[in-house]
Amino acid sequence: MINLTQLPILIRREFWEHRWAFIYAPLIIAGLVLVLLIMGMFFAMEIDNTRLFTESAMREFAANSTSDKHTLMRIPLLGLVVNFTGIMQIVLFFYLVGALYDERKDRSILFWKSLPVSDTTTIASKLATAGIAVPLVYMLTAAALQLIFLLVGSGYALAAEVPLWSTIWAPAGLPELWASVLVAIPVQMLWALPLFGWFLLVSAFAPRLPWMIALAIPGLIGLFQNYFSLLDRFKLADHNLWIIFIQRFGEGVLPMSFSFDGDINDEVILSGVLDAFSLGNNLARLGRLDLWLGVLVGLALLYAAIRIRARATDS
Amino acid sequence: MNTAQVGSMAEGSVIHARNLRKQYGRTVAVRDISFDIPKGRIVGLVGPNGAGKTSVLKALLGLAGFSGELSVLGLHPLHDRDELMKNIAFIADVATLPKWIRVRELVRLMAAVHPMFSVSECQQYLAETKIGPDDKVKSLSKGMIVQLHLALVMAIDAKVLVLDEPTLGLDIMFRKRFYQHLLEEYFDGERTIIITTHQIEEVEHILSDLIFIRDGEIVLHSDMDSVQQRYAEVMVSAEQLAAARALGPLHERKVFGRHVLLFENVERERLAQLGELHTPSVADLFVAVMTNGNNAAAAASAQTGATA
Repeated sequence: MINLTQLPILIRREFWEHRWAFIYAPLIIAGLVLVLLIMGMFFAMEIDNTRLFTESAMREFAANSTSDKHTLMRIPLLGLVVNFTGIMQIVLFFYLVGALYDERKDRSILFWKSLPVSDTTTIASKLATAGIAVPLVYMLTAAALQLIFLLVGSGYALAAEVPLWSTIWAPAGLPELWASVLVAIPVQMLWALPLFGWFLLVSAFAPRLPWMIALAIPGLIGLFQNYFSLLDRFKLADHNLWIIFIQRFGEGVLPMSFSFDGDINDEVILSGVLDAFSLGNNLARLGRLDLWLGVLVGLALLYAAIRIRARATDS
Repeated sequence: MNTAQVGSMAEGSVIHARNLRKQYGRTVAVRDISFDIPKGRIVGLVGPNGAGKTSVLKALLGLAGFSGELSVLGLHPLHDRDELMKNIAFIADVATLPKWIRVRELVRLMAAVHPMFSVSECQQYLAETKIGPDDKVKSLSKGMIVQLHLALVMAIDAKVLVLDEPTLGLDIMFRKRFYQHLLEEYFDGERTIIITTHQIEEVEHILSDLIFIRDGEIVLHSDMDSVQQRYAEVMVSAEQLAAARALGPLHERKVFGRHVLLFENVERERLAQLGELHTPSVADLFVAVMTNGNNAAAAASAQTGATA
């Protein structure tokens, strides 16, 4: 059983061990983005012939319709989030494949197992770290940057003498945006549970190079599936494990990447892409069968990881 | 099942093993051994490298699978490890503390997850060392890491303390102080302590029981008093040698040209006629029993049969 009273300190312990990846990395990303923002202010950066950070650009922006302003404002705000989620995915991957591997490798498992902490609680703490705690830190840092960005924008709005609320803060829609992100974190964890479970399982048994094994096994299975399917029916496999694996990675509810097909002024496409990230859509993901199938698979993999960890020693 | 085990345990027995077996592939590390360790004992588990000591300890601590019947404090070590660890403290080997952690983080972690851990006691132990709260484990010397680990473990109010080579890499001053402290401050007659070490001469005066293990089997399990009654060493002059050998010594060695013969269960009066009589050290006894396998094993099985 999971001992909930032990979880907070165990999650803290994960942050002690991974201070750089969990705390300093998002701060560094934030720093880099801030540097770009400041450079943009000084050099009156242009994107697609639209000047950003000038008084005239601000007046032009203020003249847009309410819904256009909302859409245009979402681009930088979600763009800021994407800076964090991309790195976070990589950080979480390496964190999870190492979580039960490193302790065997440096023999500290003998110390961890001398504590009255069950294997289930230990693995729950690693899952909660990857699924909740780390995304919260990354998203809080992104939220702080969004605030800074909007404050800078407010400065220009004041200078351009356009109304603050209807130009900057209302179109930003921070409460709805932040609520969407907050809801997206646990939904994302459920969505990614089969991945998390797989990474922890590999971490529990891999004799070496857990990150490679974690990718190679689904990759090779996918390759064989295609190979036999091509031999048999002259087409690629219908349910290719590697493709499913990659889709789980890329199709979460947290915005991971943007691809704008077409002109940035093409409002139809833009609003389609940007509206995908909303409180309603994030909650709606919970109604999808493939999410819950994934949860079942994830729980089975986690159970296997717990069983292996129970018998694991240093050798 | 646990209650049945508890019921069948000898009274006051803390560790109860019947036909404990551990196999790695086709190699048998522990061969169906049975023993009981009662409360309040300080047991030395002695054996050459690869004899199965570590396998036995790992089974006791729930760190590895095993077959046979085993209960520690009435619990199944593997299934109830987290419950068991509330009352057992152990150092399974030196250098198992995570390298990245800071001393104050370790203390804080222990305080949060361990109901029997005392922060103030731990800090008292640490105050005697040069270890600072902000030090990372990887920045400490080997000896200091052992000191840190001992401080953490000794601050746990445990019913059973298991020390596997606890003082490896420590200087003699600290080792002496540690064992003295273990006996005078930590051991209160209620706790049970199990120690394995290669520096057997340093612990023999604090042990109450001895277990010799060889090739996965117990070749001797006895309390120290019986050891002193059962075994005797005689320093024999050359003239008496033939007579002494006729009594069937367990082991024979030469010291400065004189022969030292180790006897088991031979009347002291008879031995005293042959030469200078004294109680063998555990190290000498160990060598005798280990090199003289067969009869000792037979004797030991009779002995364990008697204690069980």
